[in-house]
Amino acid sequence: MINNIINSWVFVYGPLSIFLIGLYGILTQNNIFKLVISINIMNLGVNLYIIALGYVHNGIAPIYTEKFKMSGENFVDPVPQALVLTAIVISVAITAFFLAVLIKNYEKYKTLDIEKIKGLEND
Amino acid sequence: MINQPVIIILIPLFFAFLIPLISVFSKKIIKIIPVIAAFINLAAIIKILSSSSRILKYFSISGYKIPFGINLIFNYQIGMFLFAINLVALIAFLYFYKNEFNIGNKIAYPIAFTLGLTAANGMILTGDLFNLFVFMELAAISGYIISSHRKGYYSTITYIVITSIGSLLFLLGTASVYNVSGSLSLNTISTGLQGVSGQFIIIISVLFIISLSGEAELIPLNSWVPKVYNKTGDTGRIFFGSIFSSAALFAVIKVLILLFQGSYSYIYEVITVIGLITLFIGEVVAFRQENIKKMIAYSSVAQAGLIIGAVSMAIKNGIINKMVFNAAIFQLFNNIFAKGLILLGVGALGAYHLNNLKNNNKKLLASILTGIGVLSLIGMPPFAGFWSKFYLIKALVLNKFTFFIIIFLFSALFEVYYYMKFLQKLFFSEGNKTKTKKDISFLTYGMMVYLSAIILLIGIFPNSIYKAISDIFMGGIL
Repeated sequence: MINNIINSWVFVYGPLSIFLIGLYGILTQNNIFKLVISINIMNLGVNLYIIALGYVHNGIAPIYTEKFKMSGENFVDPVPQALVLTAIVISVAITAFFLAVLIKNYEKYKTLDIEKIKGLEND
Repeated sequence: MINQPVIIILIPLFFAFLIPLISVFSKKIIKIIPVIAAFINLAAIIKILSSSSRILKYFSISGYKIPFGINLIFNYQIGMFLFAINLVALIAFLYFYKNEFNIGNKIAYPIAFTLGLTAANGMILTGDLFNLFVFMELAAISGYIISSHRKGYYSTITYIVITSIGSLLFLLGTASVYNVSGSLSLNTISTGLQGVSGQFIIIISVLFIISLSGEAELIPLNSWVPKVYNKTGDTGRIFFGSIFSSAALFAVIKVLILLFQGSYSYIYEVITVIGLITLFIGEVVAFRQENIKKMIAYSSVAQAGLIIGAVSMAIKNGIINKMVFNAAIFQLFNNIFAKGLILLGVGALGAYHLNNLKNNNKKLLASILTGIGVLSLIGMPPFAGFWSKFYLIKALVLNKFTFFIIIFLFSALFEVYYYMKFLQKLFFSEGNKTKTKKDISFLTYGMMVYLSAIILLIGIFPNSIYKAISDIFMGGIL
């Protein structure tokens, strides 16, 4: 029972709700900086979700050593962790570029409000 | 190694990372590097094509056996697609070298264009779901840089926000698929998905369809397209219009066919509807545009909708209707050249607004060559586009897809009208005097002649090209 709640609620619905909070931020916020943060929150949700999928109860690191020679079935799945590492690197790159464009936007329009920029943008 | 398709991804990647190193010594050599990369890549593709078969093959990288590690798919038909995309990329790089290198940062943009080519090749070649995500992100990041080429920072932000949502949904879908099927390789996922509940399939197909629609310019995530087309440079438009969108469309088709293997017919019905809505809305909105850049953007959206709609129409209960499918692929192939030529011509002529167009006898040749691209896109004989649309309609009529034909022809009316309006203004309008762009260089003329020669050649010998790219996923589907 308690295992079920932990598995399904905390590990699956928790990250998904974080993802939805980020999505809500993207849909409602006008400030570009808040959009950056919302995208990062969404990223966090997805990454936690992937890590949760690779979780094994009482699992150990997937490395064959002297000590754990015969316990192959209790290994944690390494693939989701590799995926998350890649996804984190990509999200860092996108955040950095987004912030650079944000600064350029501020220099050009002197505001970070999307509605105001839409008004300033001709055509 | 030299005969492996991975070399097609590695060459532009290598040259892209060479650019900052070379910039330490000389800033002048940089602008020729993307051209060299695309040229060597074309040579590599020709070499690999000469020894490839028509059956879909999986190539492993780094020595892992196929379901593990990353793998690539390749056959003769995919090689033809890569050839077309790299050829248009070479032309875009030559245009960049001649006309647009001095705009903006002199190191960032050559890197972005070369990385963009890497990403496009990777999206076409990869046979691994997560690898597809990485290449989509690479395409997106180079696309962000390209879209800010002429200081269109606001359009870049729109693009980043929309495609970020798309890519995160793709990651969610990929992780869920991995959790259920235990594999990321496209050829083993489908067996792992057998016996999974229908609701799960619906959820992941929605995730994949929405996420891939961002790069492939389909509804619902395509609202960035007109903004970015309007603000980026000429090279950037060629990149978005004929390289990124074609590669992304190819990736969508690949996922639709290799991942879902043609079963779950409700997915394809939904995608047909999405494609038709995209086609119709794209053409109607393009019809109302005065800004030529936005007009071509919406037209490009409509083409994507047509191709995806036809492809998903062709798949039913695990069986591909070969006539419809091959015609749709042929249309995608012709679209690469036609859109490349139009965007090149629009950039060279500086024809950005319908009201400012005027006939210019000095640039008559450029106008005529642009006209060839336009006529091919709207499907006039004897150009390439006529044959793909003809084959498509023939196949649709033979299979009695009446509803599809009605919407297709109805939206084609809009398309013909606004492109004819564009041509009419280009050739006969007196127009008001506006500042004219400087003369078109000999190199640009040469590239335009080259592209129109290809379009004419396909138009004269449609059957050989059609046969060369047909049955593209043979061996990959049941």
